[in-house]
Amino acid sequence: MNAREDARVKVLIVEDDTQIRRFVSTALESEGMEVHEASTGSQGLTDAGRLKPDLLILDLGLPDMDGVDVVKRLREKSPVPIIVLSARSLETAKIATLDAGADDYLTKPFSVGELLARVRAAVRRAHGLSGGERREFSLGELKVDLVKRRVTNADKEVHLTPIEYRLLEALVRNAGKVMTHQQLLREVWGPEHAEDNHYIRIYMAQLRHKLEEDPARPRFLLTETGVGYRLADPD
Amino acid sequence: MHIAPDSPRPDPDNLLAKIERQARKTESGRRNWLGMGGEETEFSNRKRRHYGYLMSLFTVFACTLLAWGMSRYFELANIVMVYLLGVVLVAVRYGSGPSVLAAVLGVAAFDFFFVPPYFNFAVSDTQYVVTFGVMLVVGLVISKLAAGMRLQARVASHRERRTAALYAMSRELTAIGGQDNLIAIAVRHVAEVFEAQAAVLLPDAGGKVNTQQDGAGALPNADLGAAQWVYDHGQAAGRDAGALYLPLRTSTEVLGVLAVTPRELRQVMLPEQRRLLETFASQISMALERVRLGRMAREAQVRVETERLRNSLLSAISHDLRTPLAAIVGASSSLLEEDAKLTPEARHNLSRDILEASQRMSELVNNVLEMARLQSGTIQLKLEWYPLEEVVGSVLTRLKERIKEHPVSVELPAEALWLSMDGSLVEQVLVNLVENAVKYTPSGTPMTIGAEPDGDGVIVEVADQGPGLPSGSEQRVFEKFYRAREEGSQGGVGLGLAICQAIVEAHGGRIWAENRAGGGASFKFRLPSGGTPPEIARERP
Repeated sequence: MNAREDARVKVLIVEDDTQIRRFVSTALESEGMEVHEASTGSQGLTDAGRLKPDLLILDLGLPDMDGVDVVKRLREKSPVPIIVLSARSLETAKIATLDAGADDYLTKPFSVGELLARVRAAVRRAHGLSGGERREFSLGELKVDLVKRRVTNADKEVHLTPIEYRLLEALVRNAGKVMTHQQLLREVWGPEHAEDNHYIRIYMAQLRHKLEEDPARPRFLLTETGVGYRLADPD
Repeated sequence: MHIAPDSPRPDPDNLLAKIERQARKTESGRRNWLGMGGEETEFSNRKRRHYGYLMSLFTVFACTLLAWGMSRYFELANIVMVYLLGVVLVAVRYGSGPSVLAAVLGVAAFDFFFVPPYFNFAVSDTQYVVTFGVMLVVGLVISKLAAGMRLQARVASHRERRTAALYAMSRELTAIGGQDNLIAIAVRHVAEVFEAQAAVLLPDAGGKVNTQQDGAGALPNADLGAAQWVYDHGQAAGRDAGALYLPLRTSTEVLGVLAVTPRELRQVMLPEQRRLLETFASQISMALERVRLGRMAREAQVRVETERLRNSLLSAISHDLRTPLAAIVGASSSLLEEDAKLTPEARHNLSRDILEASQRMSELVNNVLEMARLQSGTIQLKLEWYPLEEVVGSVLTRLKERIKEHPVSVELPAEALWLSMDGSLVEQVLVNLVENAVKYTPSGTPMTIGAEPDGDGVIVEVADQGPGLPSGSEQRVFEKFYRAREEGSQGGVGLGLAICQAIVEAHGGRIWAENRAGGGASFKFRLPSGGTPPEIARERP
């Protein structure tokens, strides 16, 4: 989508490192976005309330607050998409941040290309959500009709079990975004199964065998090992 | 009560016998001195002694009967022999006291029954006084000699017992390696030989002795204060409570304290027993010293190894960090300072160099951090059930850009392979193996990722068709900082495969490399499956 068409996309960067803040804001500004900067967690929270940004880019290693707490505080007030930047590459940190409500996670160092791809995807998802309930989704040859609950691949109908469909639906509704195991378990099986990742892996394997040409080289159903799953971005 | 170290003594074994005799004489005194037990022993000792004298009486009586029978046919000189024979028997069997009694009684009985006037101690012929005298002297000498013989035999058997006990302990001590085992053996032997409760107390890091080690023995009323005093001063000490503390010392220092609480204090207080106990202590000290020196040698070796590793880490890191840093500093300063003179193409090239150099540095830092994390000893595997197919898929997605020039074929069995593993770490293994193949094979070289079940595990293989491994380096490639080709253009610090090995071994698996028959290298690792995946409730189709 082109950000210039309607109101300019407003982005708030919360990051204490000047150089990273500068290169991120330069990249976003050259994409025609309106960029605001904050260097502490508390300032970021205030600015987020005041400026009502369309997207928030948040560094986890802020001097005054734990980044995961900032995510939780932001989520109490608004569904604004949050992309987290972190120097920590451990899965546990990723999972904690995503479970707290962050939309995406970028490990430092990252390239401008990666950053912009994630930003565009996040803005588009937010746009899609605000445009009302999604009716239809297509990704290459894969088409999902969310109203009729019909799945076709290369124009051939694919028969899914109810759980397989619910799993696919959860991913489709968050296309491009990493869904943690816990988030998927809650959506598909309900809160009582929130601990058993084994369930998801079994059904994900079944789903891949039905939808992917070569399940060992998935094109749609991507694994974020140790964290969760992501449906490939339509981009 | 502190016990002064023993002064040197002539012959400990004779002393033992003497002391035992003295101990009998000072029975009541000893009881006070010990302040414990002894009643029963004393009683049985007295009974045994009385029995000896009684047997002495009986022997003289028997000799008299025998002599009575003989007296009609034999001369008096032969009658004397019968009594002397009796003295010899008593001396050999019951020791010197009863045999002296037998000698005296024998003379008296001879006089009473056989020397005229009969049944009277009076002597009619004075030549018999000489007979009595000689008979008494001969009897006493015999009793002395025979008792001495008996003592020698006892001393010899005692020596043998002691040597056997020492030998048994030394033999076990030499055969053993660990300090804990060694202490357990020492404690057991001391307890057996001295009928005592024993403990070996070793100092902790702060120089305070205690019995925290496994198998160090228990001492119900261990007086740690006394033990500490012994450790600090290197001198033996006894306590009124009936325990004895001996320093375990080498020529240069005190290694610990041997504490002994015998059931009967005489077991350790008799000088001979004390000497034996001290010999035990010195044997234990020697064994402890041996173990300690072995440990020190091993530690020194580890230090050398650590030092070597640290040096190669420093040289590898300084080389691998400085090279890309030099590129970054050079290229970016050119961009800043020479901006006006640069053609757009040159600017583009410099920027690309900066990016590539940074990516190399990033890879290096990641590997060093990963290795540090794996080696910190706190690594906890997050074991979950994964189908191998999913991990392979994730690897291929992650490396999409890197393997553009290398066609990868995946050969997995139709039946899904489920493994209990830390998915992220095993994914890292596969990523490193694939990246390694990309690095060391020419562009366009195909590679294969395969897997097959192997008993209760799975063997995974990453094979390429490149130049293969230099022969003899099949195991060395897993060493840290090893590079098949020195100073190559491949970049990397030589940690990728070492990381693979650490991860696979943390899973209880094994990793190895070999050259393929048809050319190219093959890296294989085997992971245990970790049981069978739990069944889940299947939905109705």
